[in-house]
Amino acid sequence: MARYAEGENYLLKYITEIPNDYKCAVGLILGQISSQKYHVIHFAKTPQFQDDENKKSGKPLETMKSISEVNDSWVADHARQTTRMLPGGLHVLGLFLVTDEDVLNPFHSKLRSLLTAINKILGQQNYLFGNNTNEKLILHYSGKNKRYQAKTYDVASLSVQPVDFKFIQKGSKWMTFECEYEIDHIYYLNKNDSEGPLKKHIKVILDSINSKLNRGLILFDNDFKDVEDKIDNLYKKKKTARGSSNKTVDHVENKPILVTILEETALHELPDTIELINIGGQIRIVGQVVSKTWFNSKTSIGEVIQAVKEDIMRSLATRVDMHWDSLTEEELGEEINSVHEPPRRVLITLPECNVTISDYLFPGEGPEDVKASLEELLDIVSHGDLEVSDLEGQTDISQYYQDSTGEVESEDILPQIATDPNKFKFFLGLGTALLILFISIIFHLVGN
Amino acid sequence: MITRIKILDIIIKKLQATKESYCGRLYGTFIDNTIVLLGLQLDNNNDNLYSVPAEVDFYGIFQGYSDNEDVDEILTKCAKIDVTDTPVYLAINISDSNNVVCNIISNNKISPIDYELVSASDLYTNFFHVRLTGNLLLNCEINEKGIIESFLNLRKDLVSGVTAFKLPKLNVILSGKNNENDIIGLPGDPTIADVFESSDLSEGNQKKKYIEKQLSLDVIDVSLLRKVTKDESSIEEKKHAPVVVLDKKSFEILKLPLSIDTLSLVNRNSKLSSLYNILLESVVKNLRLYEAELHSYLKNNNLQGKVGKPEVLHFFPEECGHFITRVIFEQSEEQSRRERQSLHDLLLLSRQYPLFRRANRYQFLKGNRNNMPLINPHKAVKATSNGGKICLVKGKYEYYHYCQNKMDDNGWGCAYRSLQTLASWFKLQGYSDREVPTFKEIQKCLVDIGDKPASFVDSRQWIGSTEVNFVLNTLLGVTSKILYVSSGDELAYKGPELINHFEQHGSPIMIGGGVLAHTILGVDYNQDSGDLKFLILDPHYTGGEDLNTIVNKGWCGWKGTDFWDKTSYYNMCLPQVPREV
Repeated sequence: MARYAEGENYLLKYITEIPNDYKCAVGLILGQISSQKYHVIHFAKTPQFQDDENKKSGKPLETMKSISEVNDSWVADHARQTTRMLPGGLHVLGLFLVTDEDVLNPFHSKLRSLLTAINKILGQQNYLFGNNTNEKLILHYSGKNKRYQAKTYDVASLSVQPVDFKFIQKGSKWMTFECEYEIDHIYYLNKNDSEGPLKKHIKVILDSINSKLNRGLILFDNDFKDVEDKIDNLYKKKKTARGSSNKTVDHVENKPILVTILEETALHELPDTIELINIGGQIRIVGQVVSKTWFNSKTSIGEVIQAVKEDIMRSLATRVDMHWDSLTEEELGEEINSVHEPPRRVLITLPECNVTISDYLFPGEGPEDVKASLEELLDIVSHGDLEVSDLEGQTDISQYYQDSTGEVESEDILPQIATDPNKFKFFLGLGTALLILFISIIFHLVGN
Repeated sequence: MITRIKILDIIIKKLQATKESYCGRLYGTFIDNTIVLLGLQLDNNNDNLYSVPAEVDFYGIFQGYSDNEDVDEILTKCAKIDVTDTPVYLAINISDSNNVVCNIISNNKISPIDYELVSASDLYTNFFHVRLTGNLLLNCEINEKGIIESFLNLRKDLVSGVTAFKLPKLNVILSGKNNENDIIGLPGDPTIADVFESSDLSEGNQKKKYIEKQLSLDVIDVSLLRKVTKDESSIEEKKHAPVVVLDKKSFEILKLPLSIDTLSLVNRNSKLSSLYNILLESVVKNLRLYEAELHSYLKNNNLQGKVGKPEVLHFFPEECGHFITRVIFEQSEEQSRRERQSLHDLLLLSRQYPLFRRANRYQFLKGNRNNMPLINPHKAVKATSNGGKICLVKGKYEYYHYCQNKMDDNGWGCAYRSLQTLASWFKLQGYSDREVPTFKEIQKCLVDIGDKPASFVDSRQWIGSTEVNFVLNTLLGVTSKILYVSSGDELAYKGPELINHFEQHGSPIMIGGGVLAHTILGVDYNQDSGDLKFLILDPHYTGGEDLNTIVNKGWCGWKGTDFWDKTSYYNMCLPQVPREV
């Protein structure tokens, strides 16, 4: 229902420069909706599409001439993969179009099909939380008459509404929320259900983590907050003590607000009976997810709570997906003891607006490896000046190797399904549905 | 500063009543430079310490002797007590009619010390009981080593900084950080009394209004939280992004649901922040109790098929003076009875009546008790002046009378109500786990046993003491003695029999005669004059649960023999009480 949109001038500069190189281009609008307003932080032009045949034959890329040439699923997949990189609370809000055609009056049918495809793909995947509304934002810029115009299109009701889009010098303030969410979840495989893809079991575990998260109790800077409150009150209202409080919080602006998540153990459902089960093995997910989310100051506490939960789940689901996609058939067969090491999250500060987005690095990869996806998906060409925080840390796999074999004196050996950095192969391109296809090598620890 | 000693009166009474030279340990707590002794247990292999509230610990020993005290033994035993430098030693001289002398041990010397006797109700006004609940699930390999390890890991985990506590009604969280801000939701660091007395949130407050003479305990509910995000208090370990460890080892695993339900005894004047460590101790205590009970359960039982999850029950027998928490696994009645017997013996409690059956559990108030039947209204009745021997109902009952639970039984339901009062006594004494039967259940029961036709259900026909007897027998397995008298006058001569009933059984008596039914709660029998007075609980009262009206208008009170109708015959139903635990 938002009727206003705003973005800073760097966005206008970006979009007005596109006609210098392209006759027709499409791209994603990234940002956040709060208090009925689109807060746009980034434009990411979708790379040129080329089908497999042309790619093989080495034909040069053809630039699009008209919106009708846009490949729907190509753009939709761009939206899906970009969403994976966004922190909770930020979304692909819609599309921008740079063309001299008049696509908004009347609303071009190609736009309808494009936006429907995006909405569909973003809604398909569990824990991506890709759509926070059915209403998509469209910004059209014509290089010929140097004018822009915005609309919204509701893919459910099919209604088109005008939007007042403003480019301004300095947008409203963003506030940061941080937490490190710890997971240590053991899942037992029933004797008769221990076969079958690991993927299936992991899905059950993700569901369980999600339901725990959803019932979590959330504190901000170690204090209760009313879900109705706007977050800018976190800065304004210092503890004017009821009585003699020593709780004066010196809030430096821009200092991240600490999010604490507590589980009420009474809400964990307990079985009614003592169970004795023959298990065929166990899956343990252990480690921490670093979460950093960004919100416009008019966002409510309730919205932040929801977005922080979504951030954690989005990140978890993304990394396990990427991990599965990187494995071969045999590795997925899970017939063997192993430690799977999905990629870790790193946070990259967007150069123009300070908001951080995520990328995922496989074991052995370092901060320099984020460059490729940034260029592909966000159209950010860096010159070595990126701010990348690699906070989660990598595992010392042997610790789990000892855990599961040391004390039971098992004959089992524990290969690690992850990494040998020298053998990475990247397919940087969007033709496949993969961001990165990672072929891992089973690394036997015999004799180690 | 010299430590002072307070001793709960029933401890001394119990020790004075012992016939053998018992020895054992004394439970106590420490408040305002005073050791308060509030319980005892015999010395045997069973350590009951995990069953008493957190903050209650061994503060001394007691020993009966007939000739000479064994000083070395006493000093050795006291040396094991680590919560205080000055443990208490109660010496009971068996040859001197169980004279109890209180001593304090300091620097390996035993010296007598004065003590103050306190009643339970005076003692507990200084304390809150904090009841912590939460759910945990323990997974372990099913062998001794596996169980020990899993419990150890769980305890380690809980004390590693991830635990927090919530006071639900106040929206206050106690987190375990070691700085000033570990109370979330309240400024400063008030005392526990400041927080709870003003807010009228503890459950004892409501009760006090209408039952003055009964022991009332202030209980605060707290729930167990687990922090799943890191903060300064987390113990630093090597962090890393999530990994998935797949272990295909097959083995048998025990999934044990643990409903954490544990009590702490806290000084009203303690700071709220000090509660954190006490609560943490209480969880650990609860887990140790679970572990001990699991080990002993597995010694005698096989885990086959579906076994219900263990249940935590709290008991507060007034004879005991403090809470006893039990973790009960599903097992045979015979095993349970043996367990109860040894608990009675351990705590020097009579085996004549049950104290630790499920139905004996302490009933924590859930919300408002205002519309519930009153418990023991006769405690507020003024004493008689008959000068005779007074024998009253033992334990607790609920007062059932006309027009309760929105049912208009005025004019016909009095015997049903009296029956309900009797049934409540059996429930509250722990003999029966059954809820008090409703009118419909009573009528259906009489139809089922063939005493009444099917049309009796939902009718407004009254019942008499014979029916009361049938129903008690069928629904509760209680047999009763029936006493007949041909006129109200003749009741005056039943003094000795009634005295005998209240002494031996102590259950309330239902009496029916003519068109009226009453409940007899006690008698005052003057053997010299032959005068007899009856403590009557009248089911014909139609008002609300107002103790003042009930007592002042005589709905519960002492009546002379003229209370009975001279022209009517009477039947009395005297429920017999089994002697077992």
